[in-house]
Amino acid sequence: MSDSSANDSRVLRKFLRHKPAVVASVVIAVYGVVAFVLLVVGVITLPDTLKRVGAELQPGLSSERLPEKRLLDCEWLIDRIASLSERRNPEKALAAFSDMGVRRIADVELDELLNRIDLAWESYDELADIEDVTAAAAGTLDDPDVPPPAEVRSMLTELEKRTDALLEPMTKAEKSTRWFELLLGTDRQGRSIFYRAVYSVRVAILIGLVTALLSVTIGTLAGLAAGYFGGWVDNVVTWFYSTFASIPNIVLLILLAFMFDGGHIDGPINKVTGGLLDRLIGGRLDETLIPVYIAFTATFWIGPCRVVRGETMKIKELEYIQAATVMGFGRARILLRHVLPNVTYLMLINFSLLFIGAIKSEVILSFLGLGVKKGPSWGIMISQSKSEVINSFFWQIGTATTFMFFLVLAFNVLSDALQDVLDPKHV
Amino acid sequence: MPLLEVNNLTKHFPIRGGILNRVVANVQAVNGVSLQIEKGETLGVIGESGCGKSTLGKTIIRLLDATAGTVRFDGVETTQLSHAELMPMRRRMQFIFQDPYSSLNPRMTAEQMLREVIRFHDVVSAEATADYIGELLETVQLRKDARHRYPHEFSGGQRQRLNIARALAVKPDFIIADEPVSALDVSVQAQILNLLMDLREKFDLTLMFVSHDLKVVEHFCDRMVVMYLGTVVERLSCDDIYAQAKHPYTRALLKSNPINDPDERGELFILEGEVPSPRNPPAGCPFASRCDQVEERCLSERPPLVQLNDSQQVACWAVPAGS
Repeated sequence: MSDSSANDSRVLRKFLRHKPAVVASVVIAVYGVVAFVLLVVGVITLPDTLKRVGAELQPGLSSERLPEKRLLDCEWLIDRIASLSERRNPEKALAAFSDMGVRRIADVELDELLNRIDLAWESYDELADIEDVTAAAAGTLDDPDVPPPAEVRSMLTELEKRTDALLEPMTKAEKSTRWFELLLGTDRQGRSIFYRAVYSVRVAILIGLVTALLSVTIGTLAGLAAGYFGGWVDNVVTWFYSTFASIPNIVLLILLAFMFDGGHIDGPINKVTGGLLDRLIGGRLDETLIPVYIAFTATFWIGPCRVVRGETMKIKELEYIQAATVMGFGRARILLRHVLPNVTYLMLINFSLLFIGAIKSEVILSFLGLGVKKGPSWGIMISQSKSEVINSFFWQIGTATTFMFFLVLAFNVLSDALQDVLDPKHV
Repeated sequence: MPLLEVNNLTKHFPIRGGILNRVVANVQAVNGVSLQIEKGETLGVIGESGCGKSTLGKTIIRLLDATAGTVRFDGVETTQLSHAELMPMRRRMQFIFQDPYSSLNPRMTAEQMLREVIRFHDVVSAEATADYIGELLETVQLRKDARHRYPHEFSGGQRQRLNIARALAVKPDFIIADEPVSALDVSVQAQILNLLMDLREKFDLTLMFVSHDLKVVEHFCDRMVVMYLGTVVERLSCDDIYAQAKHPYTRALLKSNPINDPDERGELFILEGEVPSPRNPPAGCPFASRCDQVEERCLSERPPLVQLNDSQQVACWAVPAGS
C-alpha cells in the first residue's frame, strides 16, 4: 500500500537523522559480521580458540624470539612425556619435569632445555627397567591408554631432533603467522585472547537473540491476554509471574540451568524423565545452549509480561478501543490492530534490555560453570582470568569486558533511538 | 414508531469488597431512564458531571451492558443481542466520543483508520475505498493531505472532525454524540457544531446530543431531557426553554448560565450544595438536598414524571400537573 511505504521511508529518514543510532547500528553490524560471516566462513574456528599460539602473555603483533611453533612442539612433547612418566613413576618424573608446566619454554635457556632432555632420558631408562619387571609380574598394565616405553622412547628421540632444530633460522611459512593472533596476547594456556574474545561474540549474540525473542514473545502474549481479558486469565498469569518474581532471579537462573543441565548425562531433568531432553534434541543437549535458553526464558518473560499487562489494562479503557467496539470489531482484531501496535514500543525496550540481560547472565552462569559448555565465552574468559588478575595481567578480563561493553552500549543506544523513531509523536 | 425507544433503562456498577469479593454496593449511574427519539430528530441530554448522561449513551450503544430495561432501535430490542446479531446495528448506530485526544488510535493514520472501518463493514467496494475516504475527509472539511497524518499531527478540532468522519464512514442513521465539543476551544466548538448541523441535514441523521452546556443544547436540539443523579427530571422542547422550564433544577441551570447582554443580566444564581452520592441515592426527590422549594413530601417520596402538555414532562411535587 502506498501509505505504508510512505510511512516506512519517513521512519527510515528519522532513523538516519539520529546519529548515535547510526553509530550504534554500525557497531552492532560489525559484531554481526564478526559473529556470522567471520565465523561461518571459518577464519576463526573452534580449534583456533583452543590451540596454543604462543607462550607470551603480553600482547604484540608477532613473536621476535624463537619460532613459536617449534617451541610449542617441544613443549607439547615434554608435557606428554612428563605426564606419561608421572603415571608410572611419579617421584622421578616430578623431579625432571615438574616445573616445566609452569615455566614457559620461551623463558628457558636452550642449554637448560638440553640438560633437561638428558634428565628425561635418565628417567626413561629407569622407567623402562621398572616396566620390564612389572610387565613380567603381569596385570599392572591395565590401562590401555598408556603407551609402552617404546613410544616414550620415540617421543624423546623426536624431542631431541626438534630441540636441535630450534636454532635454525625461521622458514617463510613459520614467519607468516596471522598478525592478529597475538594482537591481545595469550592466556596462561597460550591460547589467543583475540580469537577467544571474537569467537565469544557468536555465543553472546546467539543467547541474546534467542532468549530475548522468546521472552518478549511469551511475555507479550501473556501480558496482552491477562490485561485484555482479565478475570481468571489475569489471575493465572499474575500468579505465575508473581511466583517466579518472588524467587531471587539469579538463584532461580542457577537452579534452572542446573536442572536442565544436559552436560551431565544424569542431570536432574534427564534423570527424572529417563533422558527425555536428550532424546528430544537427538542426544546432543550437552553441545547446545538449550539449557541456557530454557533457564533464561523462564525468568526473563516476567519483565515484558508485567509492563505489557499494565499498558494493556490502561489502553483497554481508552476511547479509541471503545470506538473500535462500537464499530463492531471482534476481540482478536482489537487486540492485534489496536492494542498490540500501542505496546510494541514496550516490546522493543524489553527486547534490548533482555538482550543485554541475557549476555550479562550468560557471563555469570559461565563464570559459575553452568552456562556455555563448548568453546569460549566472555564469562569463561573472565572466570579464567581470576588468577591472572592477581599477577596484574589484565588482558584477558579487559578484552572480554570491553567486547561486552561495546555490544551492550550499542544495543542500549539503538533501542533508545528505535523508541524515538517508532513513536509517531516524536518528530 | 420512534427510531430509538429507551424504556426504564438502568445501569448499576457493582462495588465489590470484603474477603469474598462480594457486591457490597451499587453505583446507580442510570436509574430507570426512558426516552424516545423520532427519526430525523435531535434530542439533547443535559445534566451536570456524574449525572449518568454519558453512561446512558454508552449503555444504549452497548458499550456497557444494561442492568435492566430495554432499548429498541427501529423496533429491534438490542440489549440482549449477541456480538454477531448486533453487527447490523453497529452500522446504523454510531458514537462520537468526548475526548478528541484519546479517541483516535495514535498508531494509525487517518487513512488507515477509515480504511479499516470501511473494509470491515464493506461499506463500498475495495476499489472505491480510496475515493470514499477522500469524500469523507471533504465532508468533514479536512484537507486532502490529512490522509497520511497521525492523530498527534492534528489539532483538537481536526481530531474531532476525524472522529466524526469515522462515525459517518459506515453511513449510520443514528449518532450519539457524547459531549463532542466540551473539550474544544469556544471558537472551534462553533465550527464543529455547525459541521454537525450541516451533516445532520445532508445525511438525514437522527442525533442524541449529550452535553452539559445548556446554550449548546438549546441552539442545536429539537427537544431536551434534563438528567439529575441518573434519572430524568424534565423533558421539554427547545423552542423557548426560558419560558417553559418548570423543574427547579432546570431553572437553576438556566439561571446559572451567563447572559451576554448586560441589560438582561439578572443576578447570577449559583446552585448550593453537592449532588448526593449515586451509591446511595435519597429515597425522595434526588434534587431535594439542593432545591429552594423543598417540601416535606420531597424528602420521603420520589416525584413521578408528569405530563404537563404535549411536549413537556416534569418530575417535581412543586409543579402542579396541567400548569
